[in-house]
Amino acid sequence: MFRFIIKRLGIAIPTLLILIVFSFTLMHSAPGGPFTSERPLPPQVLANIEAKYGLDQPFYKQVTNYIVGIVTKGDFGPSFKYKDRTVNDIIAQGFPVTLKYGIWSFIIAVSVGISLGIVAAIKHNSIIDYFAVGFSIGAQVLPNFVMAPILVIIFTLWLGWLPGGGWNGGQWQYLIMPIIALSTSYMASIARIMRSSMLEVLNSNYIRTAKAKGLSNRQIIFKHALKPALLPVITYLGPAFVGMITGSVVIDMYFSTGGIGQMFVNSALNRDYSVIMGITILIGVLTIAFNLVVDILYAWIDPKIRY
Amino acid sequence: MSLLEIKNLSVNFSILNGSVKAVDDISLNIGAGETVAIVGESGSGKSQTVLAALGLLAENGVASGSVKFEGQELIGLERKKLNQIRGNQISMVFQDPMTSLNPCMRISDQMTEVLTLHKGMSKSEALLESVRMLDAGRLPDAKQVITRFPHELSGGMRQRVMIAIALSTEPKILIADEPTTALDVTVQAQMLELFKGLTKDFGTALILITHDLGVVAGIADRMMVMYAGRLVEKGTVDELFYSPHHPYTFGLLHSTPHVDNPEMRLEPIDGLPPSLENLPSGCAFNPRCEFKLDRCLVEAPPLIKSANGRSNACFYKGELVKRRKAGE
Amino acid sequence: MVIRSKKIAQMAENLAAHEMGESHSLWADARRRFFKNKAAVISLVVLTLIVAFAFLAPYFTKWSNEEIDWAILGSVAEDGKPSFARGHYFGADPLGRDLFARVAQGTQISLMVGFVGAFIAVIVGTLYGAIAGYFGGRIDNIMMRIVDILMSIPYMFVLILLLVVFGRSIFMLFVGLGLISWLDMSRIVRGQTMVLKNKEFVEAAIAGGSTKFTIIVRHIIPNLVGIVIVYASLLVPAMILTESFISFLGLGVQEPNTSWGALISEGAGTVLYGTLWQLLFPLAFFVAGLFSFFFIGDGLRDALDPKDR
Repeated sequence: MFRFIIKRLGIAIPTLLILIVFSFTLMHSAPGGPFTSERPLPPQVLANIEAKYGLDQPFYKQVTNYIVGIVTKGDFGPSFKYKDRTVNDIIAQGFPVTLKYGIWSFIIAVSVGISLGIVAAIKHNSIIDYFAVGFSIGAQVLPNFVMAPILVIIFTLWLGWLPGGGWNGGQWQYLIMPIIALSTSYMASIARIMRSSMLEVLNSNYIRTAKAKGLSNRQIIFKHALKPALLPVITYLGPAFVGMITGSVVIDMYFSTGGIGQMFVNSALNRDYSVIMGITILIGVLTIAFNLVVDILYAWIDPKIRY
Repeated sequence: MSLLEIKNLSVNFSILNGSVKAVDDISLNIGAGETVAIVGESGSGKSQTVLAALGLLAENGVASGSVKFEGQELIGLERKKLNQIRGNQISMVFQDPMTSLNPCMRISDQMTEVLTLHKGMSKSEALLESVRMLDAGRLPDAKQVITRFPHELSGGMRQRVMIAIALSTEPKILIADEPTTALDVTVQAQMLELFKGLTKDFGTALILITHDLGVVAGIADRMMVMYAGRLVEKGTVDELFYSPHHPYTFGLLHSTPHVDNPEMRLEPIDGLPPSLENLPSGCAFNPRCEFKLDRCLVEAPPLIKSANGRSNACFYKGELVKRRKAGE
Repeated sequence: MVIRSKKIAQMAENLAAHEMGESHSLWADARRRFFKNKAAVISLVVLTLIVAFAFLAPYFTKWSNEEIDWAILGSVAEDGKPSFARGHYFGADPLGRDLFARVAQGTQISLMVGFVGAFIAVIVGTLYGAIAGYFGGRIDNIMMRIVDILMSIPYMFVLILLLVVFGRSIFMLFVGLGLISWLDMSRIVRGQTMVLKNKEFVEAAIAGGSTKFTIIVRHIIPNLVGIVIVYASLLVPAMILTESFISFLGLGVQEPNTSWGALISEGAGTVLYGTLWQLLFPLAFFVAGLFSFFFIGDGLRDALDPKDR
């Protein structure tokens, strides 16, 4: 197990380094520096600012300093646009917001998706099965940026039940629409994967063996069928996680939650490079860490994978 | 009273355009401790017959007729009561040991669950009993093997595990569906010995489904031959082997090598078994039959009882002798 | 996308198991099977109508996509409603421009993004995958490790970074989409190539003295056509989705150009003022377009998959 994790980290760390160096190079090669604005600054002032942010040093030194800063102190450096704020401040402000509804969305997408898939498979060709199939086909064309305005039309404009945006400390009224908008399409995909893999497992020889043993339906499904049927879903969790993190940018923007995605887009529009990079790297770390967890989970369920 | 009494059993599968009859009006009795073989090519309905008896048909299959176990009707029996019989009184060993064990569960869990369920044993009692069963199945190093996952065992080992699971509840009937087909030839013989020995030790009746007459000869008391879902001939193994009455049985015997007569020519039956979706009119075997009469093309021969509990479904009453083809 | 990749992997397996038959009857058979699939045929019709709309609509309205209707500008919410009398069939956008003409323009651009993105993926992914698969060994190992690394990067963020650094333009959008779109394609093609290279006709070509490059281009790639078509047909909607996502954030296609995503973004932004048509018309096209692509892709896969033949 330990060796397995080490091996995975052996791939993850270079990936992360490549991501950092790549974004850093990209940022550095931008035409016009980060401080180019409509009103050109006097060269003296510009030089001072660049010295302050370490931009006068040679490129390799900047990269190493940046990486060392992140690794040793978890320091992503100062913001280029907000003079008295660091990237860490900005992330610390926005990340908890995104994390809150993000975790809820993930939990709901996974739990509802899996349950719906199981029920649809058990009640194959019943109304609930048709509903699950229809839902998973329909949700393909309902990505978060389509769901969000539709929800606002229904719950804010027509019914007037929920506020059309804002965060307000994360009260439940402000959480509902972000969670539904973000989770729907992933819930549908998970339901679809779960349903088809469950159907496959239920038709397998070893489930026939379990039936021949005289086990009850309940025992067959939960003791025998669930584990193997979950494997494809677990494989999908990694991409789903990335998709939801990406989707949170839309949610943060559309519902003005003040989450990390809103900051990312604002920084992108303001060319606040250090914030963009900081957030990109954070997302990269999260993604890689999550994929590691998924791999471990997979290995734990599938006995054929030995570490 | 016989232990298991199958009467007029039919199995229908609904498919895309209509339905097919996989088993057509089969009857069979088996007494305690007896060994009966059901023989036929793949698709002849031999597996579906026993699957139907235990309520294990695929979703689109429907069984009609009667299957009585110790007087208790199994067809249409509610799930809960059926579950008290299958795996307990009637156990089953399947053809493919590679896929018939759950890949995500340890052997120990797959073995002990039948004992805790049907025999009310505690987990530890069940574990001890399972190891004992594996030892009885002559599986070396049982205490070690039982902690493993199926993919860590060889095909022969897995089939021994399957047999051990099936016999651990001391069932009255063991149904073995092509138990040796997926195994190496060397392992096949050992497995047959095991079946023979264990069913004798436990006094278990055995229903053996196979396409291999060599297997039948070694182990069964009686046999029934199926073709395209119908029973074409049944009787004791000795009688059927020495004087088959149905041309299909005759053909099967001539296409099987005999150890005691290695000089004999093998003469395969020409043609292929018919598709159940469009059976030929009359007797389903007529396109491949050397002895067919005009009648066979329009009318299906009924199963007629004769002496010594034999039955045969054929209009041809003459002697069955291989006709040499022209030019030979 | 993941589910679809899985199905395609299944198809690849079936293709590998299937012996190459006569190519003529293969295609005729595939066509027959495709046209038997009702959902796919209806989708094809819908898609044709959408394409026709994109290119013909400008001839049916007196408004151009850039012209501002000054008469309604101050009161779009009331007077900008869809109306035949004013000639705004789909109503007006928040700037008083004709939505009918804007949707036509956006449809053009979204379709273009989809096709160009898929095209880049086909070219780069096929070559990359075919080379990695054909040469195998160390080369394959390194090339595929690169793909692994690129795939584990949250690409949307890198794509946005790219757009920010080099300026937001359709060209950069294509570069960015092209950079990520070929990864899956290369994996599928590689797997298929590894099967193909052991088949007799390739051995015959080697024995005949063909160079490796010729073998890849003349013998391997033509046999990949089926799976590449199917995957490409599913990449088109995936590209459109990605572009719409970025444009929704205001980072993609820039004014005066527009796309489905940009139009949905505009419409979504004004939903609370009650100007629903600004959202619903582009949304309808988006949904109908994506559905069509998905069903056509599924239809192609079923038609070209040798499994149930």
